[in-house]
Order: sequence, then C-alpha cells, then structure tokens
Amino acid sequence: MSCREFETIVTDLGRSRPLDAVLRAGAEAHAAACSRCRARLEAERLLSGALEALAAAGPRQAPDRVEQALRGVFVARKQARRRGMAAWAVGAAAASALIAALWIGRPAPEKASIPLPDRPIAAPPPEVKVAVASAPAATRSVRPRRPRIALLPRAVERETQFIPLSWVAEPAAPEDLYIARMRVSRATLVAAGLPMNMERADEAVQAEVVFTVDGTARAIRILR
Amino acid sequence: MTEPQPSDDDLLWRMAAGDDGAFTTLYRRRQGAVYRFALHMSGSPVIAEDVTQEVFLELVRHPGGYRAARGSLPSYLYGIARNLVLRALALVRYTVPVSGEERQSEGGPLDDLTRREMVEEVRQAVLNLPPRYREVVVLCDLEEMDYAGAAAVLGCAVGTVRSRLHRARALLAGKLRPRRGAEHELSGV
Repeated sequence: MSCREFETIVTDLGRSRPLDAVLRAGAEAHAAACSRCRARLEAERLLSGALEALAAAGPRQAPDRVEQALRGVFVARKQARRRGMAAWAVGAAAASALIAALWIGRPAPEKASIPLPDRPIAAPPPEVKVAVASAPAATRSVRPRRPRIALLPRAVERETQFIPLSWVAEPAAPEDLYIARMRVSRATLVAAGLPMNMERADEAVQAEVVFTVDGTARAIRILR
Repeated sequence: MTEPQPSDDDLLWRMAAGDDGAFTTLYRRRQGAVYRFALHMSGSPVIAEDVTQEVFLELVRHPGGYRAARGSLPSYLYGIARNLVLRALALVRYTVPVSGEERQSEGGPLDDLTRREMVEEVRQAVLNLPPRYREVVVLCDLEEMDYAGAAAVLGCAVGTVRSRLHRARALLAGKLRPRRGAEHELSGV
C-alpha cells in the first residue's frame, strides 16, 4: 500500500469504522513501515478520542420543559380537532336540516305567481320566540312573517337579521343552540321565499344558521 | 420476554390519530439526537431547545409531512433540525461571535488541560468549522451515523460525506494542533 492509498482510508481507520479485513491489514502493515503514516494514523485516533469525549460530555436530552410544552400543544390540537369535527358534524346536520326546511317551505309551483299569505304555511302559535345563540340574552318575541319572493338588485341584498325558519312555542335555551356559518345557494334561499338577487341565483351566499342540538334549523341570517 | 418496541411509523400513525402516548414515546425516542445535533451545531442550549421544540411541533402539525419512502424518520427529523439550525445561525451570526482565533491564543498545551478543558476546546474547534463540515462531524463522529445515513440527512452523495468528513477532520486537527506538543501533532495533512 502506498502513502496515497493509506491517506484515503486513514480517516476510517482512525475512527475504528468497519473496514475490509484485507484493506485493514494492508494499512496496518504500511503504518508499521512508514513513520509519517503511523503518526498520521495516531493523530486520527487522538482526534477520534477527543470527539468521543465531546460526544459523551454535556446534556444528552432536551430539558423536560420542551416535552411538557409539546404535550400541551398536542393535547390542545387534539381537543381543537375534536371540536372541529363535532362542529363539522353538527354543521353538516344543520345544512341538511336547512335544506330540508327550505325545501318543505318552498312555495308551491302553481302558486308561484300568487302573492304569499302574510303568515307562515304551518299554523304558528300566537307568539313565536326565537333565541339566538350569538345573543343569548336577547330572547325576542316576534310574529313570524313569511317573506315574499322578491327579485332584488344586488345593492339591496345585504346582511339581514335572523329570519325564522321554524316556529316553536318556547325558545330553546341559548346553550342548546348553535350557529353554523355556511354557504347556501341563492336559488335555494329564493325557493324558501327569502329576498335574494336572482341575477346571481347560481351563486352562493354566506349565511349563519341557528339550529338546535337535534339539527333543526331555527333561523337564518344572510351575511355579506 | 420484553415486548417488541413499536416502530417509528407505527407511532407516527397512532400520533396522527391523536394518541398522545404514541407522541410521547416517539418524542422520548428521538428528541435526544435532535437536541444534541442542534446543540453541537449551534453551541447554544437555547437554540438547541428551540430547534428541538420546532422539529417536533412540525411533526405534530404535519405528521403527513414524513414519507417513509424517502428515508427514515430520524433522517427526516435531522433534516428539519438542520434547516432550523442553519437559519438560527444565520440570525445570530453577528450577535454571538464564536472566534476560534481568540480561543487559540488563550490556552496552553493540550497535555496540560484537564479533560473538561479539552472537551471545551474540541467543542469550540467543531463550532468554528464551516457548517458544511461541522454537520458531517456532528452526524458521523458525534452521533455515530454511517455515511449513508448522513448522506440522506444532508441530501448529498455518500462520497461527498466521506470527502467532507476527511476535510473536516483535517481542519479540526489544524485547529487543535497549536495546543499539542510535537509528539501529539494531530495532522500530517
């Protein structure tokens, strides 16, 4: 083995890395005969020893507070994800309920050109109360009026108050109500008798729907 | 007979499904290597702590970011840690001077140093290596990773790792040589 060849493997030799047995024997024989390469190998071994000492020194683990912080984040994310999934499930149920409510409440085709009566289709109780979760204290007594179908220009179509979709004699407790924000097609809302801009009937609007824990849609509010 | 340890992939799947026990197991299994890598690369326990936290936060936020087909989980974690360390070093380069020249003028011969002083000297020598050489020393010598593993972490060929390590050790020997007596001269390169 030449000094040049020895130099190519001296690092592995000095680091005690696995090496081909024949190669190792040749290198050791060369180091025994060549003082310069022997010193070179010794220097590599000393360096390896120094690096091993460095590796063994100092902290081997991150401080415990890192684990505690990460576990906190992990648990918080898990809980948030669960809440998100629950909200999604409830939202999906609400969307289904809303569509069903709108579908049931749609005007009959043969009566489409006839002005709708100024009352709900189902006979309502004298007083209708709608509790809105976003304003728990504001339990309002309203006499529901079914909106007429109207073709409004875009400028008129704006954020609304909550419009009742179903009627109950007693309001639900605020904690039993949820609000889901979703996109609803204008055509669906128009079919339910809400005043929307028909020029954009194929587009959706952002809306907030109040629903109960059983998924019944109670009210809707159009957002801009 | 002890039960077989769950694999990293298994723990990662369970972690992604919300199993915090799996996360803890995986963290405890891998955090030491990540922390030590960041510590040896930066020389700063603060940076090492931050990097370790960020690496595992990334795993928590995006467990799907790891692809087993691309390499092992340790390689993936080292890869994230490496990027974070290099970014941190770029930020603190002008505020935390680490000058090998100053250090070399302070001490006496290595033989007179206690073990602790010798370790500190080697640490400074490693910290004063250019990052591309420092990282191969940290991975291959301090963390005892094989060339293939280091190549996977660094995204380069095995031959590149070998040549960088060879060069890095020559540089280290050069930095440590002034402290040694002639009989302990580290480098003949």
